[in-house]
Amino acid sequence: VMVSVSRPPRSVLVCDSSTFLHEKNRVTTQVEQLHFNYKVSLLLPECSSAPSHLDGVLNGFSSFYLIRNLPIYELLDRDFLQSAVFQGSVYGLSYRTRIDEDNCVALMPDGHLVLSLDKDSFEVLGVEGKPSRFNHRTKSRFVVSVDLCDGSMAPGGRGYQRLHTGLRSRLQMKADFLLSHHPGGGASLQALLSRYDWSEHRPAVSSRTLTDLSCPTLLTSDLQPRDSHSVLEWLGAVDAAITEDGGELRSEPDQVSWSRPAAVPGVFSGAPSHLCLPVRRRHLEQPRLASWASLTVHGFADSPVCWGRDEHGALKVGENFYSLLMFQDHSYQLYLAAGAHDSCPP
Amino acid sequence: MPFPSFRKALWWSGPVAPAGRSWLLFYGGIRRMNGAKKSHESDYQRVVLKNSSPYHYMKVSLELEDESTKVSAVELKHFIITGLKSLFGEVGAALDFDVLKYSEDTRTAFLRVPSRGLVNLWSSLTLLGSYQSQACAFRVLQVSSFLLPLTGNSRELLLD
Repeated sequence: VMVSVSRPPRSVLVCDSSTFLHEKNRVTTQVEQLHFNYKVSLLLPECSSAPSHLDGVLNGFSSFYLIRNLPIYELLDRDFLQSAVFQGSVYGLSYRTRIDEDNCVALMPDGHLVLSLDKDSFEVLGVEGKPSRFNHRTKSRFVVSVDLCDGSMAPGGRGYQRLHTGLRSRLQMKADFLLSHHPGGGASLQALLSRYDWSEHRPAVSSRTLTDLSCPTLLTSDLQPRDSHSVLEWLGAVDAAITEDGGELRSEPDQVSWSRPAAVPGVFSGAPSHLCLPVRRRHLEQPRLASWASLTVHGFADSPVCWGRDEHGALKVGENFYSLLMFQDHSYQLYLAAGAHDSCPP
Repeated sequence: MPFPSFRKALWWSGPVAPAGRSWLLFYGGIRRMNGAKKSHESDYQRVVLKNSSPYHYMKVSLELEDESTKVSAVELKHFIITGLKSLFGEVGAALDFDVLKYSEDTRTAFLRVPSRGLVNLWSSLTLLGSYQSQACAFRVLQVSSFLLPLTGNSRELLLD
């Protein structure tokens, strides 16, 4: 008898269904809690031509900057705090640092600075923090979360000085840093950028047309929670361009459809939810056989936070993404996924 | 490539979760607030599924001593089955995994395996050390209980 020696990693999938017409629908609040997004992909069934009506939105994502070797104390610079952080227009995270090995930093749009540090670095920094939820027994990783907008962190105050000296003189922490801003916030970053080696990057939009893909004519009422994994697998197969072998696909021979997936990798926060409205207004309101569209957003695997300010880790995989299926009748299905080192999505 | 036909993929009819290790939380409706219409109660449904994924997905690449060696998808699958067989015997070799996607140039594959077989498959991949009498190693690049994350790995973000 074969015995499984270990379980697969834990995973959580939240399936929400409701309608955009519901005054208390929480879609925007829910999806905006995933702050650091790496890739946005959109699947528009039965869309044969380029979605010109969505071009503006797809190309409207702000550019982002990669700053080489940024000393982290620079994020506490008074002018930078005043012009960018307090305005809530800037966010960023360390680049190519791994949450399970390295020290990681995230600057959140709400002004929180989150540091995920190994034990030695945490002790050298000398600022209050708490052991990571995911290895609290061994206490090998610590999380420091500071609200830069809080009164106790006012520039010049004791809390501010302690963190500043800790980062500047004691830990001397440096990292390649990805910095992005909400639309219109670009100017506030210039002073910081001028002091370091940086490069500007634009989220690159790629889209293709799938002529042979038969999209299901889905309705919300068709979708039961037990179908969730099948739906997500199907979306994943389309995204990964995995070819299917099913003869059954041709069960409706007169139905020819074109589908258009588009993908935008970059650094975003909150922005993807701005796609929902144009998709619903300009795409779904045209009569189609498959009257739905899907929006999938992948979070950064190595971000120290996920779903609000909850700690994020990576055990074997740091999965955090959501898929939103929007239907013509204004109803929606929202799938929020979390891995073993995450709390339950909102 | 073995991938279930559309209907099977979408309308999953088998067990929803590996037996005995999953549970399901269910909240129906929104609590009625003052003045809210009764019809709204059924407008919202939230279901939390834990460890419910019938499959796990792996992104692996095969590293070979001689980089120019060509390995086809069929050879790759056969090689993995050999590994399962040597570690877990005939029963282990019967593990029903699929090679969903394979690139011959990079020798990178997307594998799908029933969740209960993930650990077996992973351990046999780790222990595979030689391919046609040359040293080799499987690199497990990503593991997930969903297929979607395999196409959106932020660790692949390369700038400059």
